[in-house]
Amino acid sequence: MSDAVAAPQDARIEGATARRQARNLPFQFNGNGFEFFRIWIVNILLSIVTLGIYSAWAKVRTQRYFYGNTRLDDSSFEYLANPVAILKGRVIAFACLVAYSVANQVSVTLGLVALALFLLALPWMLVRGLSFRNHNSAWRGVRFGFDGTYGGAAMAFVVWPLLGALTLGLLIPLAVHRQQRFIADNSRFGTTRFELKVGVGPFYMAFLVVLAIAIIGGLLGVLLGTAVPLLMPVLMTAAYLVLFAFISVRLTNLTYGNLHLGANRLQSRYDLGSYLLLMLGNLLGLVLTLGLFYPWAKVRNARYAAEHMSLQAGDDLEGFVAARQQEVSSLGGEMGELFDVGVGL
Amino acid sequence: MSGSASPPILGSYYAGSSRPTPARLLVEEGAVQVRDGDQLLAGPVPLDAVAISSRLGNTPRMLRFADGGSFETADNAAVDRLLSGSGRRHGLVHRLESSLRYVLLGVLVTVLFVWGGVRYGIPALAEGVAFALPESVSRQVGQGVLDVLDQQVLFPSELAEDERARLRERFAPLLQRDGAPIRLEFRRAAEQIGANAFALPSGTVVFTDQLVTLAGHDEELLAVLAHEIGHVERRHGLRQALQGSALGLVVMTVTGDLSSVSSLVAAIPVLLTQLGYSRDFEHEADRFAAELLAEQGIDARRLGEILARLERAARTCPPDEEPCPQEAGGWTRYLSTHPPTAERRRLLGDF
Repeated sequence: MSDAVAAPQDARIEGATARRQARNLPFQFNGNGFEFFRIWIVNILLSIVTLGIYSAWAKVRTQRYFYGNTRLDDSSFEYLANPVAILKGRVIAFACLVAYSVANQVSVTLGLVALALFLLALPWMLVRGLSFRNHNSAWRGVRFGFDGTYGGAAMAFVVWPLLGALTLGLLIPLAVHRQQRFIADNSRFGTTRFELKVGVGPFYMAFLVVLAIAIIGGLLGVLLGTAVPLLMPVLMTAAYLVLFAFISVRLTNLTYGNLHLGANRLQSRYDLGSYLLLMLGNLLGLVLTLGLFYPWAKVRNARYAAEHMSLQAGDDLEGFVAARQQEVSSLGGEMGELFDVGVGL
Repeated sequence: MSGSASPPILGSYYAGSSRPTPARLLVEEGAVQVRDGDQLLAGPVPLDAVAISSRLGNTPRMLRFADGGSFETADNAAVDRLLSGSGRRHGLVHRLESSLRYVLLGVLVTVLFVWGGVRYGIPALAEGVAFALPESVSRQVGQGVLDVLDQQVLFPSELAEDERARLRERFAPLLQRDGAPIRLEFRRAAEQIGANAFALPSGTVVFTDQLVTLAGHDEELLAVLAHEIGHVERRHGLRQALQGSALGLVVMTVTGDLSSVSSLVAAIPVLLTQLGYSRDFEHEADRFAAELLAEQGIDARRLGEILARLERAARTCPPDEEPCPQEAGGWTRYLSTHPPTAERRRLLGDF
């Protein structure tokens, strides 16, 4: 880590585009499980005492802990969200969630109306959520940003998945590719845009492997399960875990590993074996401690991510300029979180 | 050591771009300035005009100036000294996090809150809310469910017309009492449902032909009806829905988010808790039935008898072996929506 980290200090060349040797800059994560455990438990304690109001501050503290402990080229990331904005978003989102679940319980038609409204609001929630997250993430005092539109999000997250379902899954890899492209290509650091340079082919390859794992796992489960009935649930669970790990690993490598920012490019080297070990360790820890292992699991995940990613820097990383400030409300982001809308990036 | 001549804090300064400038932050006579050698990068401004991020573990601190520039330093101790010198209140949450006593208190409160809240708080709250709402809300829950069931697993009853009429008459005393109006339906059920009865929150109680055939005495069917009326009157449908939502909220408070690892693991305790709630409802409906039957001069043990019959039928025990041999492994009770029949019969005998 030492030579890469010390480099920018003596690079006092005027003009940001001064070309230098491409450097491979590792990410570093300096968090510690016990330290985060204390933060986590105090977060919960205060959230309980304040009847949930503190949970917005708790979220900011958690995010700040993980951002602040992640370093690149000797500078750490920053999470800048205002807890009051998050609290407002949470209150409104919670009211909507209650209305949604009550509508579902009350009658089938009302449930369908609620679902339609939810689908209409989904793209908006995604765009606002990504805007809020990016706008409040910064490195070296320069904020990230997101410029996606409602239409773009509607295509990527509603229309393409629907087409995927209508074609019995044939277009699902294409839909996933569109979604990742939508998220990446609309994101920027300061005024510089990210770009996802990968075709749809690798997504189809990954899809085929997923199918193969599912089929082989299912067949093995049934075949061995009829011989030794006790093995069936064990094998099914194992197949499920492998499937889950494979999708995480491949999707992360495809999306992060092909992410370009100006002359720089991210590299992602997740691999299935070590990721499975990480997941099994976390699961075991959580089950054995009845959930108290949770903070350590989060720290382990963050460390794994940092250790398996790096930035291939094509310039000195000094030319990124902050964009003009504008405020972004948290509402969409909190809605997305409450409705469990997964956004992977 | 007065504040006027504190040693400089080392760090990096960013002036609106990602170019770092190694810099020193100095405080002279209450004014903050950032310098790179002789060059003045920011300030001097009063300390109050600088936004200083709060202490969080050992993460670096950011000092933000009004013009958009920011100063990053890893020297947490120096920033804390700077803040305490200025008399600003700071770092309360960090002090809680650093104190082992408060952390232990946190663990204790969390465990008690989660256990107590889930075991007693949520059911009590849901009961309060369910009965505070007008009865019509409770009846709205699960509208259209019977239509779906009729399409898939229920068929028109094949019981003789006069048998059904006789039963309706026999049931009349229970149906015509004050309280929620109850509608009675008979259906032949598909194989996988078999002998059963269930109540919908709207007040419809469905008996399957198989259950009517299985019963050894009319009073056993009356006992089942009393139990199902209990589900309706005690608004179990609405309460179940409310408890499910509240449980999700508790999970979110504890995990703080819904990331993949946690949701995979959280699903199991949530399911087990919901099964526990379901068993509590069965006990409550049993108690309700016992009281209602007593009013009618019927022995509450009739309910226990039909429950035992149902269990024997489900497990294909030898017809008159009493009691039906217990299944191995007592822990499986926690995986069931209904409490063990033996326990229910014991409690019904006690009423």
